[in-house]
Amino acid sequence: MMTAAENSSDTDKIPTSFPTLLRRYAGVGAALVALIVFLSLTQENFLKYNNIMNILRTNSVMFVAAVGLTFVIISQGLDLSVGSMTALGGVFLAELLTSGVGAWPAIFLTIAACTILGAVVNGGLIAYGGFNFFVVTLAMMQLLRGAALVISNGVPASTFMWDPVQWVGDGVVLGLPVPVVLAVLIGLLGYAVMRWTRFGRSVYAVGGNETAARLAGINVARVRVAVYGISAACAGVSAIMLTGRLTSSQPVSAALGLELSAAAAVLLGGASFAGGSGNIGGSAIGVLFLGVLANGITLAGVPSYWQGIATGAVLIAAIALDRIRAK
Amino acid sequence: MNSDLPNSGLSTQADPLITATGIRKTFGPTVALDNAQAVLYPGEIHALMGENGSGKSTLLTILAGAQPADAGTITLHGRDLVGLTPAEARARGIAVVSQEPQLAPALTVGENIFLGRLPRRAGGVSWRETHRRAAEILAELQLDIDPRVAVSTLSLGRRQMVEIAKALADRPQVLLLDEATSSLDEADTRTLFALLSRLRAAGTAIGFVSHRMTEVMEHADRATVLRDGQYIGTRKLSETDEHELVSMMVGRDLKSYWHKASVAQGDALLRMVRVARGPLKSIDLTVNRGEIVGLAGLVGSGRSALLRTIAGVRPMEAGEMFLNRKAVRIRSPRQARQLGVGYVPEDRKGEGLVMHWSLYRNAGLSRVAALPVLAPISERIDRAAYAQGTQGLKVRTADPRQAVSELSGGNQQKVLIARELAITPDLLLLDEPTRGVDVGAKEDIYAQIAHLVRGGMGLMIASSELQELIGVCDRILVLFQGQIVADIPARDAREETLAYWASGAHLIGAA
Repeated sequence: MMTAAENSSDTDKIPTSFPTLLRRYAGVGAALVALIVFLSLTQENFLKYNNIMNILRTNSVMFVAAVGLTFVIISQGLDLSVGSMTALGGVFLAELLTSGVGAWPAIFLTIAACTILGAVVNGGLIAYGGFNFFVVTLAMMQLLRGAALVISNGVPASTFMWDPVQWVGDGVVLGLPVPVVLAVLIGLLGYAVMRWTRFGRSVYAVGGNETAARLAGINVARVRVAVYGISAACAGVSAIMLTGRLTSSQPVSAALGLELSAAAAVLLGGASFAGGSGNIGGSAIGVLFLGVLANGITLAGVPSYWQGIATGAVLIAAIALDRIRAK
Repeated sequence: MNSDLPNSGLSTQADPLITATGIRKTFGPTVALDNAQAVLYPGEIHALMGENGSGKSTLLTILAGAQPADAGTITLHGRDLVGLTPAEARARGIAVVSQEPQLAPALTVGENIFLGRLPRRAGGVSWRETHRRAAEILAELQLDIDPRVAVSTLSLGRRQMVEIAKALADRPQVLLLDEATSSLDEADTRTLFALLSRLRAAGTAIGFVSHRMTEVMEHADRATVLRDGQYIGTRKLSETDEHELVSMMVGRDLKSYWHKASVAQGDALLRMVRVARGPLKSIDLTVNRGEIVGLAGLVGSGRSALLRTIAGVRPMEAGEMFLNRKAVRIRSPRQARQLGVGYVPEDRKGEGLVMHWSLYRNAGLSRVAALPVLAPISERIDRAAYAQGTQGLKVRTADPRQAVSELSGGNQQKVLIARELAITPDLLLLDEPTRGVDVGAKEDIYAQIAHLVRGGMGLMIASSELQELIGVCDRILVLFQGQIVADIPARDAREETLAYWASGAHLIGAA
């Protein structure tokens, strides 16, 4: 399947001129603007400061996960274990905290554990074991959620007592929510790595033509290990943010389906399962679009059950539009 | 234009089998064909020639009904064919073998040959019948391919033969081949043309597009030349020569097709001593600075494997290798680049270029890959690499920011070569550097090779076009079953000699 961005996301070109920028983000970017204008006109509460901060805060977890997934999808892979990894991260964090580890060390240990798990198991099996990414991460999705349940016995553990965790999930810095600031920083870092480092370029190369990348001197296996490590690291950060916001670990329900909504956002943002295209700016727009859409549905008093239908329809519409424009 | 009548080159009493006259075809603003024509008689092998973009493949696809012409007429046995579709064309006995593989790799050879019309029996497919008839066709082609094996297990060259078998399953009266030999080696090409001669004798009209001049000179009866979508002329091969055809194609006289450089050779650049790896057995060779060493051999003889071993793709398992007199063990393509070894793989789409990337990015890939993992980069690296690598290569593009997939094969190849030149290699390894490349671009590439070797670079070129090796190289090594069996100075080399060694004929004498 030749998907969305194959022909049109100009990840390759230099977005110096406004027309180029416009072309790159025209599809979903224009839709986002239209949606915002529409909601501003029809919903009086939409443009309120609180509502905007609410949108940003609730979607910062998805965005951080989407940053990691952007690396994976551009490398022509997929990580289905992101949601379960986030849930397990929360459980692991709560275990560390209740067993007396300091809050900051516990936060860093959680992120490190997730990273290692993702790089070694997901990355290792895919890059060196030759396993299909779908199979490996599907198995890990089951396995990690299971591990979260086993470790916690399925019982949420409160993290309310630990200020740093609460701060990461729900704090305020310079008048802005901490998770939002954190998400923006991670997004910028990801963007810079993708755009301006040799590593970022090799991710695009591996996704664009794996054999060509290998023969040109890129260590494809290491790139693959790295992208699954990055995806898991982002899931680790999401875990801290989510646990803080919910004031507890939620082994059963935390981040259920997160990987799929984040993947939808990444695809909306111009990446393609064919690999080699997409970028984190696009993913940010994709997350915002889905976030604003969900918010609009809530504000309009439409049952939130409609959210899934809207997301799916938008995704198909975006890809259809992209294919028409490519012709 | 030209006043030749379409059949001016032929003295035949027979009526034309299939004719196309006044064909016009546009793609948006691009005029692919304008008043093009071709006339094929029963029992002839007819070459359609022209540079890339001349419209020869488009003309072939129109003849095959794969796309409609905007204007013009096609007749079969003197009757007009209107609105021809691929299915109708097939039903009327027009078969086509296209350049891009059309086989399903997971299916067996027999299934592929009869795909869409598998022999049926009692509501199901008769596999026995399928395989029996497939075996019959393969035997006719003198191919020892088992119809029960999956196509994915076959080499590129063998797959191409299966494509041809598939086209022949309907016993066509017109057989059209679009660069059918570009992925075949000498032996398979010979088998193919032997088959085409038999079909010709049986009265089939055969039209083929080829970039290999030797092939045309040797096997075709007549040739029709197109240039920029226009009909230039038709010649009988017995009444023309290579020079006339090439000048018809490019529209000017080419002084010298080959650019042989006579360069004083310098020190040994690469030395291999008893190197072994997989199919390669005890390879001893030396490449000097300012020397072009050719590698001849059949597909599977180890000529590509040898280049891959030097390039670090499949590191050597035994033996010694010296670069600039220093012992090296090249373990990865990256390390090879860092040591000054450039490598242009055989399959530029599958293994060389990232097709949806820009020319700039593709040109920068090898240079970028040689950097430390977290090194900062910017578009400037790509532009610099492109500027350096394409110097003298005459890449034809409106904008180097366009996707490399939009270029012609020749220009794509130039970008791939530019990518390796951007790392300023001492030793450049080229695997099939002119496969599927038009005459003009070939000339540019040969000129660049001559220029590079004058600058003291050493080159190794693997090619299945023996004439190319003889024309370009200083010395030719012939590989047979993973071993170097002959080392012949190019000035003494003749195609027959190279083919003798490549086919293992020397063993027959010894036995």
